[in-house]
Amino acid sequence: MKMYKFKSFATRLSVFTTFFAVTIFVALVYFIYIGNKKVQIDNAINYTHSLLDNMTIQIRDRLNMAEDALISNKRIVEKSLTNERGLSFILKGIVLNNDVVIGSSLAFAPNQVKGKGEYYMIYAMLNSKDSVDIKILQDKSYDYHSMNWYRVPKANKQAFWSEPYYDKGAGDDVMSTYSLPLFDDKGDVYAIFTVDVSLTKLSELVENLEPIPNSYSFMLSRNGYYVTHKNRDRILHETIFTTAESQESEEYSQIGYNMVTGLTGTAIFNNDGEESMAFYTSIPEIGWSLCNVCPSSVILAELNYYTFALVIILLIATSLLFFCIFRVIKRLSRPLEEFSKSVSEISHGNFMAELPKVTSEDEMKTLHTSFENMQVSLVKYTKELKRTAQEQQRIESELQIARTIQQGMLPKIFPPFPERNDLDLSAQLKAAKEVGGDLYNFFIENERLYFMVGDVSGKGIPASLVMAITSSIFNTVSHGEDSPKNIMTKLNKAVCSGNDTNMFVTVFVGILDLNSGEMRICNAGHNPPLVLEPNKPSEYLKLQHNLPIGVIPEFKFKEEIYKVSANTTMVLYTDGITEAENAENELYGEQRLKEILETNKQEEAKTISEKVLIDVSRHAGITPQSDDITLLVLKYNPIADTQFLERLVLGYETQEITKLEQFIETLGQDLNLDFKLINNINLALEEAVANVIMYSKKENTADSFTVEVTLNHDKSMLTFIITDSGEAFDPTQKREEDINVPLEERKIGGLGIVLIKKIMDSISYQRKNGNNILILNKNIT
Amino acid sequence: METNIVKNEGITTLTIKGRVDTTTSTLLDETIQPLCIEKGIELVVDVAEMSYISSSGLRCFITLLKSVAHNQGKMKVINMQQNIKEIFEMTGFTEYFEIN
Repeated sequence: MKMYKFKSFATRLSVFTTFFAVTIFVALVYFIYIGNKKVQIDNAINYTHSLLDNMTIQIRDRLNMAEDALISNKRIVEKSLTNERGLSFILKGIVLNNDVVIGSSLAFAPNQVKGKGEYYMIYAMLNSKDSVDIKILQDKSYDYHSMNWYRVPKANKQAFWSEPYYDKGAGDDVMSTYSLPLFDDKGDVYAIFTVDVSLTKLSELVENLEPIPNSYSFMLSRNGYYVTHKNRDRILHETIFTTAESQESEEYSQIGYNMVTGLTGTAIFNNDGEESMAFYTSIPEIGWSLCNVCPSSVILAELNYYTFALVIILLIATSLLFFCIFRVIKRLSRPLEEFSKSVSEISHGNFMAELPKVTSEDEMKTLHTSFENMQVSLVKYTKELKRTAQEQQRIESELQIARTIQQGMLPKIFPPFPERNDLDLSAQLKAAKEVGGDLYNFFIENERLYFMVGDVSGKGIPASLVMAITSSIFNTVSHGEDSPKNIMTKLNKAVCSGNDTNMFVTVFVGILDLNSGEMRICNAGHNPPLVLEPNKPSEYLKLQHNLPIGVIPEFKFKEEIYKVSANTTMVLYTDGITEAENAENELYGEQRLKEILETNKQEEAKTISEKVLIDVSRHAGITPQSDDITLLVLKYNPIADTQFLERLVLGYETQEITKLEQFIETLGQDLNLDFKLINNINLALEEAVANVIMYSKKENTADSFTVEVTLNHDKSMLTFIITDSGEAFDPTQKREEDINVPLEERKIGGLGIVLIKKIMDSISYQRKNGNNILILNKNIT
Repeated sequence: METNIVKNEGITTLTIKGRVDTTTSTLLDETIQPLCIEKGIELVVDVAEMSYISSSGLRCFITLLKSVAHNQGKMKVINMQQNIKEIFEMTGFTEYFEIN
């Protein structure tokens, strides 16, 4: 159902109230009308019937008078039967003495009066001049014997009121005749004594009966003929039944039937299209009946008038009510409209928009006060917000500067020592916030590599300040110092002094003698480095424990010496790596770090560190970094003590392999190697070289590659270095076929690397400066 | 490297002499092709004078062994030098071959 939505609050409330009032009014008017209608109709019925009864009495009086005139003169007439003059006089008296009687007669039966024959009738008749004419009828010209007024009473021997009739000869009037039979001694009727009653006179009486304006009355005869009617043409010509038939009104016909039957009553019927009421009663003595017809509208006219007036008054009252309510609510809610304008303005940013004036002390006042408070608060909060934002911006820009300064403390050019072949180093530091508490540093002095990694407890600005102190002091105290223990002691004292916040730093300091491969280490509470040597699983260095610096100024640090073997990769890091969490709160862990390092240990230091950090962030996913991350990768491959023996340049064709045989044979003879060893070295080298020729060549590769042979200082180890500029290819990563399987499962490939590994004592690969470098070591003692 | 194939009384003898390396193994590969398709072959590989073998040469041997086995034949290697035998051992091949 669709509901019409009134726009305004005032309209809606007014309409609802008015609707309610109208409903009550309509119900009220309806019940008043229904109640009064019944009373009105009852009154009309009572009133009309009382008038009808009155009229009946009047008519009966007149008729009784006519009857009485005969009865009272009957005796005189009987005594004067032969006295024509006397009879005439009596009849004349009857006519004159009764105003409704227009004629009176004495009609004798045949031969009742001597000498008068068959017809003899004396007739007194009112003429137009209100005097009385006497007529003596003695012949057949007026055959009264056949008339009803004579025939019926004579036959019935009873008095009789005739049906109304029109008699031209007798007064030119509509009349009804009352006939009184006169009896002789034998009881036979010898004469009929009559009076003619003018119905015109009765009609006037009846027509004057108008109990209710616009009503009319009529009288019916025994047979239903109109005796009196406002429409004179109907009198004696029509019956009520013919009228009912012409109007096709069953109700009217029923009324006629009731009237003719002698009933008294009231009926509502359709009178030629107009709803009317018929009040009827009968005059039982003569069998006539009287009816008053009145249009219902007339009966209810007054009621309708007053009801109409009431409705008009209520309509006016309702309109006034609607108008008043509408105005009152409109006035009450006007501040709301103005409030909404103000709020709209506020919402567009003008917080001090003018509020409507409210003089009343009602809810509007409360609303006004609330709005005022809101405005004040809005202005206040906006100012605060702006100030906070500016503050935030200032802090952020300062932090950016601090970050730049902090990053500036860290060596950041990689590779840092491009001129050195024996050393490759890379370090990365990723602070969790703008500034952090991790640090690293390294430099070479007097063929010694000084390097350190540290982690200040905590993070953010406080940690960054301690980091800056530690980093600066390391730079100051480490130069010229060859013992990391001493460096650590000085660092510790410096950090301890004025350390009111009890912050501490875990530090690893190492000094690597690049000539001897001897590394002096002092580890102050830092996690030990991971060491990756060729052909060995990675492992953590087992070091003596020292306290972190910043805790006890007098702490005696211990240092130790570790011999770095050739081609070793050492990885130092802070726990930000191993403790990096993912969304499921799983740590990155040492195992995963080991795996990624072992997979990539042949790569350059920079690549290794990048791959580790990528793997860490892949693990963390969308989880924000919670701790600073530092990673330092150090690759050391001392070649200082080796003696260069031979170099072979080969092209990328299979035929080139044949050169190897001669090359190795010559070398073997120079070194006094036995035939079998030469053969084996030849085989291992052939496999390695064949791999290069088959897999490494690409478009931009130089046309040749080299095989260099060196001998270490005690002449125990031959080293073959195969260097090619082809596509990165690490044969040590090539899957080694399981050689202990049944023949059917044995793969044909993968034999070469098996042979190389079996023959050589160690094999390592590195990618450096766009070259594949495969290093094969063979102990020849 | 030199090779020779001799058939005598139902026994096929393949003789390999010299170095079987990356270069020469292609030759050996071609030489053994007919032996690889022969049904029920009884093959003797004489390596008395084979002084050197690389992984590509070993691949020829394993190919040949698999083919002979596939064709319900028999194969044995005879007169293998010690240094060659060591190479066979390094790759686990001594498990597959009948070596006399």
